[in-house]
Formats: sequence, C-alpha cells, structure tokens
Amino acid sequence: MKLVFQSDLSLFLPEFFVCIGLLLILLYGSFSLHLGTTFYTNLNFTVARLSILILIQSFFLILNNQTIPFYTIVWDSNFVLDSAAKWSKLIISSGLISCVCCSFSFLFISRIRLFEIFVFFLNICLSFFLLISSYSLTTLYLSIELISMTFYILACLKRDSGLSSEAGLKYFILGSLASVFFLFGSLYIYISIGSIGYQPAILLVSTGLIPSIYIYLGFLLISCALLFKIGAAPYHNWVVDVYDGAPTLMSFLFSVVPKFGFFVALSRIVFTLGPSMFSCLWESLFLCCGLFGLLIGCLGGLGELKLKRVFAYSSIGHVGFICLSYSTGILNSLYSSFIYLFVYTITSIFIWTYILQLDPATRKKLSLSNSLGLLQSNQIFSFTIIFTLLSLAGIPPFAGFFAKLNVFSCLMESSFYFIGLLTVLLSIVSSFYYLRFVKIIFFEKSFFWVHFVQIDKNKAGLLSLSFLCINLYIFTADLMFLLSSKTSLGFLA
Amino acid sequence: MVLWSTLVLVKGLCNIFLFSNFSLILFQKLLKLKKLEIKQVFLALFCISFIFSLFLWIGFDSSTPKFQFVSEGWWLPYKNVNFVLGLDGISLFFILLTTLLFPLCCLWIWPFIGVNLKFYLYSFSVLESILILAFSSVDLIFFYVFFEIVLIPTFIIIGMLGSRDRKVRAGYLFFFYTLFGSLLMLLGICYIYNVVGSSIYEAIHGFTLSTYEQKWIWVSFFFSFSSKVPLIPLHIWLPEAHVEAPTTGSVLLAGLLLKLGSYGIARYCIGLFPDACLFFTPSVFTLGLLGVIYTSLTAIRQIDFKRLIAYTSIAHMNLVVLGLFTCNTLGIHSSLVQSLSHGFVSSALFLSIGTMYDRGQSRIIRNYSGLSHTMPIFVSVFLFFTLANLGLPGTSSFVGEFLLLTSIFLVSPYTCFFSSSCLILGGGYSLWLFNRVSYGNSKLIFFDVSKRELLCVLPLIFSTFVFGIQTKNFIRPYILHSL
Repeated sequence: MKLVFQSDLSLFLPEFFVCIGLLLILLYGSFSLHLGTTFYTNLNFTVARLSILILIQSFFLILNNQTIPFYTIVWDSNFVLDSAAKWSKLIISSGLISCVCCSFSFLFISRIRLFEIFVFFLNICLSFFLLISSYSLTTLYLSIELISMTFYILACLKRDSGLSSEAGLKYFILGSLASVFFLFGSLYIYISIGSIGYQPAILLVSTGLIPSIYIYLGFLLISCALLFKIGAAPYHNWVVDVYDGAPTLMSFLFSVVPKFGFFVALSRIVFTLGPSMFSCLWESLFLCCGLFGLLIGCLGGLGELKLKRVFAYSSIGHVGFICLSYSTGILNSLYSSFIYLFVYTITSIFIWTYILQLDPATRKKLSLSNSLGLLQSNQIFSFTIIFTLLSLAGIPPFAGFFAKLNVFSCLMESSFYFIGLLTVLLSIVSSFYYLRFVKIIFFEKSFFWVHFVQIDKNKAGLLSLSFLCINLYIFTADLMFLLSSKTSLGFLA
Repeated sequence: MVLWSTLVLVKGLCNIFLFSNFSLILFQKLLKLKKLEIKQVFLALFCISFIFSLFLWIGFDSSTPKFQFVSEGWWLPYKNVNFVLGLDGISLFFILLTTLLFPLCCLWIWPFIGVNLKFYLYSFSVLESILILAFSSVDLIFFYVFFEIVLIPTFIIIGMLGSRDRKVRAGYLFFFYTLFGSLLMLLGICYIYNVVGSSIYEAIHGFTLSTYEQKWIWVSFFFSFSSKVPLIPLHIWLPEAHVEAPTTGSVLLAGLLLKLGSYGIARYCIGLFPDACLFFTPSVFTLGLLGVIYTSLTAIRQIDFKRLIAYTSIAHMNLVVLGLFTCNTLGIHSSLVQSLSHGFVSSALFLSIGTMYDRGQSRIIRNYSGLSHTMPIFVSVFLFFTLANLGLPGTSSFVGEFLLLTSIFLVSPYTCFFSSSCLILGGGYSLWLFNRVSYGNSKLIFFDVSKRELLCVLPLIFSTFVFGIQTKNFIRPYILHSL
C-alpha cells in the first residue's frame, strides 16, 4: 500500500531525522535528570555530543539526498527541494555544528546546566531546514515563528543578568512586531493573487502581469519583515543590544546562522517570486537598506568600546553590502551576494569563536583592550586574527576583498556609479575600527603580565578551519565560485 | 634554445623563490634557528633573487614591445580572470631596483637589537615578493590586489618598528590615504572588466573606450596613483610616514612604493587612456607644479633632516609626473629614468641619514655639525648623493631632470620655467643641509662609517654613476614599450 506522500517522506529524510533526534534528546534529558541519585547531574557533555552526532548525520543525509533535476515540489506544494535548498541547508547545519562545538567549554565555565539548550539548537536546525525549503507563505511564516520563539528564549537565557533579560525582551517585542507585518503583507498578497502558495504567484507575478496594486505593498511588508530578522538597517535597532546582552554563545548563534537562512528565504521572494518587480520595488528598497546599513555600521562601530557591540555594528555593515548587491537585480548579484554570505559566515565563525575564547577569561565586560599583548603570548593566533580582521575590512589577498570585489562589479555593471562611490567611502570609514583592533594587537604594549591561554581542542579546530578558508581563498577561488553558483542558480529555476 | 627556455623559467623561479621566504616562517620554528642564522639566510635569499633578476635583464629582448617571460596560471577561468605575469621594458628596471634595494636593507638591519627582528625580516620578504608581483602582473585585477597587499607589511614596518609614539598615527595616515585612492581605482577596474570582458592588459589595450568613459575611469585610477606618488593634496601621509618609519622603512617607501605610483601612471593611466590624459594634462600640470614649488620651499625650512629628504622625494616625484603627462616619447622616457635614479639617490640619502641617526639618536639638524672632521668617508658619500639630489651632471638624476625639463619645455615653456625652480631650490635645501651637517665646529664626535654601512651604499653609488654616464644603454628598451 502506497501512502499519499511516500516519495516526499524519503525526500524529507534529513528533517525527519533531526525532528526525531530532537525528541529523543528531550526524552533522554528529561528522564535522566530524575534518574540520577544526586541533583548534580551534568548532562551537558553527553547531550552535546549526541546533538553533534545528529547534526553531522543530517549533514550527510542532505548531501545524500536524491539528485533533483531542477526542483521538486513536495508536500502538496508547500515545500521545495532544489540545489539552493540543499547547499544552504548544508551551510546552516555546519554553522550549527560549529556552534555546538564551541558550546562545550562555554557552558562548563558559565555554569549553565540546561541540557535543553541542545534541544533548542536542534529545533533551530529543523526550523531553518523548513524555512529554506518552504514554498508557501504559511510554511514560511510558521518556520519564522518557530525560529523566532527559540531565539527569544535563547537570548534571555542567563536569568540572573539584567542585560540578558533586556536583550530577550527587546528581541521578543520587536520580533513579534516584524512577524505581524509579515502577516499583514501576506494578507495583501492573498488579496491580490488569491493564493498563498508560491507556485500560482510565480505564474501570475513573474511574467509581469500585476493583478492588483496591493501586491507591491504585500511584497514590501514581507521583505521588510525578513530584513528585520536579518538585522538589516533600518531595522537594525535590536541587533546591537541583543548581541551584546545575550550570552556569548547565543550571540555566536545569532551572528552565524540566521543571516544565511533568512537571506535564502528573502532570495526566494525576490528572485523566484518577484523578479519582475526589480525596477519598481526591490531596487529602491535594497538600496535604502544597503546604504543605511553601511552608514550605520561604520558610524556606529566607531564609537563603541565593547567588543560584542563593535562586531554587531560590523555585521550590520556587511548585511548592508549584501543588500546593495541584491538591489542590482542582475544575474551576478545573486552569485556575489552568496559568495559574500559564505565568506561572512566563515569569518563570523572565526571572530565569535575568538570572542568566546576571551569571554570566560575575564568576568568583566569584554572590551577591545582584552586583546592587548596577544602578540607576545600567542603569535600565530594574533596573526590569524589580524588576517581575519583585514579580510573583514576588505584588504586583499583575503576572502573579504574578493567578496567585495564581486559586489562592486555588480554595482558597476548596473551603472550604479554614485552608489558605488558612496559604498567605497563608507567602507573606508568602517575599515578604521578593524584597523584599530589590529593596532591594539600589534602596536600597543600591555602594562600587565600576559600569559599564554590555551585554546581548547574544539575551538582550535574551528578557528584553524575557518582561518584557512578565508585566508587561502586566493588559491581556491573556483571552489567558492562553484558553491555559490550552485546555491544561487537554484533560485532562478 | 636551451638558454632561452631556462631564462623563461627564471622569471617564474624569481617569484617561486621569493615565496619560499614564506615557508621560512614555518621552517624557522622547526629548525630553531638562531638570530644570526636567520639574518644570514634572509640575506642570502635576497642576494640570490638579485642575481636572478640580473639574469632576467640579460635575457631580455629589447626589440619587441610584447611582454616577455610570460607565465600564466588559472585562477577563475569561468570569469575570465587569470593570474598572468609578464615582463615589460618598464617593469624590468623596477624589478631590478626592487631586488637591489632589499639586500641592502637586510644588511642594514644587521645590528638590530629588539624582539621584533623576525617581523622585520618577514615584512621585508613579503614586501619584496609582492612588489615583484605587482611590477610584473599583466592582469589588472591582480595588479590591484598586489598594489593593496603592499599596504600591510608597510603598515607593520612603520607602526611597529618606528621610533616614536607618533608612528601609529603615521601608519594610519599612510594606510587610509592609500586605501582611499585604491578603492576608487577598484570601481574603475570593475567598470573596465565589465565592459571589456577580461582584465588582461593587452586585451584592454586593444579595446577602444569612448572618450567620456575614459575620462571617468582615468579620474578613478589617477586618485589611486596620485596618493601613492604623491601629488598634492594627497601628499600628507608621506612626511609623517617617512619620519616615523625606521631607516629601512623609509628607504623602501621612497625607493619603491613611490615608484609603484609612477609605474602605475605610466602603464595604466597613460597606456590605457591616452585621450583622457590629453584632456587632463593641464590639471595634472597644475598639481605637479604646485607640488614641486611648494614642497621644495617647505623642504628648505625643515629642522628635521628626515622630513627634509621626504619633502624632496615629493618634489622629485612630482617632476616625474609632470614629465609623464607631457605625453611625448622623450617625456615618458625621462620620467622613467628619473624614477629609477630617484630610487637610487633617495634610498642612499635615507641610508646616510640613518647613519647619522644611529649615532646621534636625534633627527634635528641643529644637533649635528662638523661631521667632516671625524667622518670623512661618510661626508664624501653624503656629498655625492646631495649633489646627485640636485642633479649634478655625471649622476643619473642629471640625465633624468634635464630630459624632463626639455620634454616639459616642448609642451609648455612657462611650466618649464617654473618647474626648473626644482633645480634651484633643490640646490638650496640640499647644499644647506650638507653644509650645516658637515662643516663648522664639531659638536659631537662620532665614529666613521662601518664597513657594513659603506657596503650598503656602494651599489647605489655605482648605479648612480653608471646610469648617469651610460644611460643610452638603458633607454632603448623603453622606446618600444611605452607607445
């Protein structure tokens, strides 16, 4: 007897695996807690290792998924599986694997004994898989809500810290407002098209026959909601405070994983649903977001002293760059924005692992001066940090430069000359605070003893892998090109 | 035939060999070399690369305008961007200059006591490799990449190994002025790449861009090179950077990085956009002339001798740019000759000044007087280069300056009149500096130059002389290439 959705089940194997793994861990955790004789049961390590196993296995399941010619629509046209979804899911799962890798020592030192964190991580994994594959506004909304709920909880995890509660509250209130706008926008789309799914919308909208004028408003609201979740300016207010207040592991998570996932969802809306709307809607929207993002990213980061806030502002700036490349609307823009996203994800993994490594060392606020004297104590590490910072600033020969080169090439190709000039000037200003960091590591003498702090195995492996990806980019540029092409061209099928 | 093919490989070897400098960084940890051995190894590497470049010169065929010793490597074939290196008449001599100056700098820092010796040597090796790659890259995007990478080791040299606390500010100024110009150039490069479809020099050379397009792209390229050369008003970084950098840092800055700017103008601004050059010649002439007169006058009133020589560097390079934009054959040749000779002369001047600074630990001129009593060899060397600075016949800078003034006269006699004040004012500041320092009563008694310091300066004396007298052997390769 064949089930109705039998083929869909096999195609959705990774998601089911993650879901079952999640439930298993939840059960295991809840029952083990009460099974032990003492109340001192540190489940973290076992649960963490289990969750890493689940994530790695899901990585391979995604890789192993049946080859799809262009795309396959599953579950009654609610989800899609194409090459874009496949490769994006791989990146998401590797980002989460890196996050769990770093969590071992962080949770031990900050004495957080909640095994539920790993349940949340797996939940995030599952919900991002669903978000990336979603092919209808309902599934998109539900995945967004699932992700956001988990994120709100994770942001206010440290219950004894006022900063953390403030972060969680801000994220919750502003995030729910964004979701409300999403619903409002989907309402307008339903009014104008008469369906919630993407397929009818593609047929009606992408050919250029606009059924009604409300569709612009609908797309605008939906994309604004997604841009909020990414943390693009002018919806960036929550980013700095949440990155600062949340426990550092959660800031790591916020910086690495959601940007990629929500950009994929945004690409589906912009390129699959509405490629005909570029001249009227997307161009102005993303230009505005991009330029504001660069402006706020560079000006905000100049005045900050706390380390996490500096990198929060820099992430706003980078998201602004990606938005700029979206605004051009040519084929190259998808490719360049995905290369930028890959490079940015890997760079954030490096930077936030470094911040995590600093974090427990001092119990005080993390500021820029924590890296003083790194050159004397750990030379190789300081060089890798400097190279990564220069990559963020966009200096050759590191990966960040080539990512920016692609964005500039897109801008010039679509004749955005003045915008290009502004972008150049703003990126020079923002390179100042990266250079300030370099100066602190290289040139300033520390007035206290420095000692060699050994980085634990997980973090060291992560740091070296991500460093090699960024700094040897110049020798393997075609690999990244192929990866981003495979990801980006899936949207145009 | 065998000789020719080996010489083709020599070019590739020259670069691979320099990249082996990188691997030394790893090996040094493994082999646990002592300081002396590290210095010896690096010096040997730099000398060997100089000998290789001499082989390149010997094997160079000056009868064709094509690129020679071309080596290609795939980088991103889907986007038609590949890693191509090739030698040209213009780049050959700059590469020779590069490989000449680095062994001298390595020899100069022999008695360096400080924890940062490794950083010094690593920065040198990285800088040499990148400069050779920059001068020999045929592909525009890779030229830009190497042009920018140069910033990093120079920033380290200025900011870490300088002597005063102002060095960080100097490093920042250097970095941001150059970054500002270069990022503007990036926009121009992206535009060219999109329009032409490839970024190889010969492809763009064959492609005709409209005059309107040429003007805009010329502006973006010019910003970048004018902050390197430097032209007023983007010259502010140069006195600061030169003063705060260590001696070898100033030598490399003045001797090589400024030449990157003039090389870029000669090859890219003039080579690729000739119509725009003709259009912008009056404005460039204004800037250059202002630069020559202003910096020469400022140099006269300096109290810090390193800053004085820094301002004279700006004056000479502005004269070079004036000559480049005359857009006649004589002008372009003489500007390249003058670039080279300035590379020799100003490097030697910075080395001599470094000798003084090593002894007196102060850069104020007033502290030094009557050096000729106790340091006759030093004073004679210093005299030779002071006279070379102001363009004494017999030295290469005479050839350069005289021909430059001739070529400027061909375009506009008024400009020539005012820019020849470079020679007059040059005499003023150079001779006055020499006079104050060498003659008069002895204030402080120093030991004369050591063998090491003399050895550092000797090749430059030799080159200046030889270039000055036998220049016709060196002009010929340029003739076919700059057109």
